[in-house]
Amino acid sequence: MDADGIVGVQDLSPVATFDELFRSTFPQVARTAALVARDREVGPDIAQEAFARLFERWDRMASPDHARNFAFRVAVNLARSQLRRRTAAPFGLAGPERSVDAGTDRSDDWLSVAASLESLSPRQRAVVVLIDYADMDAAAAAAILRIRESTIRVHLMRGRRALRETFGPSPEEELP
Amino acid sequence: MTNADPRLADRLRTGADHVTFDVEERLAATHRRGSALQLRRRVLAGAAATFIALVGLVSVWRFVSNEGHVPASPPDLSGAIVYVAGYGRSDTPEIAVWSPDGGSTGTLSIPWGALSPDGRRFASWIENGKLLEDGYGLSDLHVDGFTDGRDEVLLRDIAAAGPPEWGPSGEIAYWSYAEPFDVAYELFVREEDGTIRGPILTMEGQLHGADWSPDGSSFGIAVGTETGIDGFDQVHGWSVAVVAADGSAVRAVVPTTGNPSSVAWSPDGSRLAFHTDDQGTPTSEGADIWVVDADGANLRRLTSVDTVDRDPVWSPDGEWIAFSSRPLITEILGRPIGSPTAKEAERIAAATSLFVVRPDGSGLRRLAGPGGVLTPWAWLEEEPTR
Repeated sequence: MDADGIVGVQDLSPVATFDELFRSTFPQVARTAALVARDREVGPDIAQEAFARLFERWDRMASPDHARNFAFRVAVNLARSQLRRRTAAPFGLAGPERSVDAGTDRSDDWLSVAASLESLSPRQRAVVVLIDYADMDAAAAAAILRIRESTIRVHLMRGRRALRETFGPSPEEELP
Repeated sequence: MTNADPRLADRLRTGADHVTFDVEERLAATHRRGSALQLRRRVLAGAAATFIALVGLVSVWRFVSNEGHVPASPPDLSGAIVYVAGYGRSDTPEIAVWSPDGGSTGTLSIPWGALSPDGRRFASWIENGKLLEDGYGLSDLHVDGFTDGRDEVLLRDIAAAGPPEWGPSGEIAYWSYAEPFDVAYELFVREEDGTIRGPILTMEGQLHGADWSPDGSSFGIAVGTETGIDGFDQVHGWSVAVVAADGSAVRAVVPTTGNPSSVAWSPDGSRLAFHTDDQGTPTSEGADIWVVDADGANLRRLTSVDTVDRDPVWSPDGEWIAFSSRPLITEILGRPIGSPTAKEAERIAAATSLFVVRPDGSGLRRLAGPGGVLTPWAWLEEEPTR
């Protein structure tokens, strides 16, 4: 077992090949990264980098879940690294101007979601996106973010509360 | 078992559906990238040291051999303002100097980093090709003679989270990520004898540096975190704070209405300058320069809310503050802030100027630009020439 907790098992069936896993998982990983980074342009790039690293160590993946979690883990972390670079710039030397939304044909839906996610801390954002967007459970999110499940639940609760405040009440909640 | 919240999930998916890509195209690119990764890592580590040495030599030569003119200086200003004039290859800053006698517009291409207080040495993080388990790049701390090109490696394999910060006695403070997959970062100090002290602070959220007080007893920091600082629950939210250099105490100086950044001590240690964005105001894109006494009294905004004013640096005599200033993007581009194209980014940069103002708000004047100025970096007593 190496530092990633990865064992040298070769059989990845039922997802037999890297390409199959890529085609089935890349869209969700790309959109997860975009949500965590609040930048829809970098999401696919981040996911591509995460899968490139997965490709590099494909023969050390123990199972499809292991490979999938690895891709998510690297993508979420790269997305947070993207945030680090963006947040670190102001106190040293400010880099070229760049907003969190890099689209030129910006949609209201994306802008609304990106703006709402800004109210969450980076960790809350990652937890909410993994569970409420990528449909993972707390255990999977905890494994990806390498924090305790109890901590996941705390971040999830706070993150959801903040999101609900920014999204506003649902139509049902507005009924008298 | 924790299940997705259907309503939030629906909103997130609605937004995320606008993240578009061609899967097959991405797959082909991933194959190419994955195959190249391992080779690239091996090559990077070996090539980095050679590259740094060559770039350093060439850059120093360019800097000392290049001459030009900058606007004539007001007679009451002294010293030399080192500022970022633009970005070269790979976003490497191009450094220029303004001084009352004309200064040098020769540019020096150097990595992100910090000048020592005497302007003779330059500290920077250079990625060494190694990665944390989570893919975050590790760096070595290089210190170069700003004028003689001498290169020394002081630290290795650090998950650096921001530029190094020179202390008054040659010590260097730095933020780093200690744990893979963690967003918390820690503040350490490398003493001049090589001893590492810390972590002095642990925090999450916005990362805004740590400016040493002139006597080295404390740091001025900008806090932009809802989670606060570990062990010091009284400091949270947007604020400017002072931290004892040994980490034993953190004191909130003043809360801020916008996200603060670029805290800078006055040379006599009595005041702090910083900038905040203008969130919550009609011109939320703007940013302003502020000054406050170290005890939190006499908070004063020095600049207009309808401009973007950032990155204050004090003159050595404490009489002036230099900063960068430009109009709002809506004025430059005719549309709200978005993602500028390369040409639009050039237009934004071309609208940025170097200004000075006295700490009481008087004497506002433009020293250089618009154009050829991005942000001031340091104000030294003498121009850093060989």
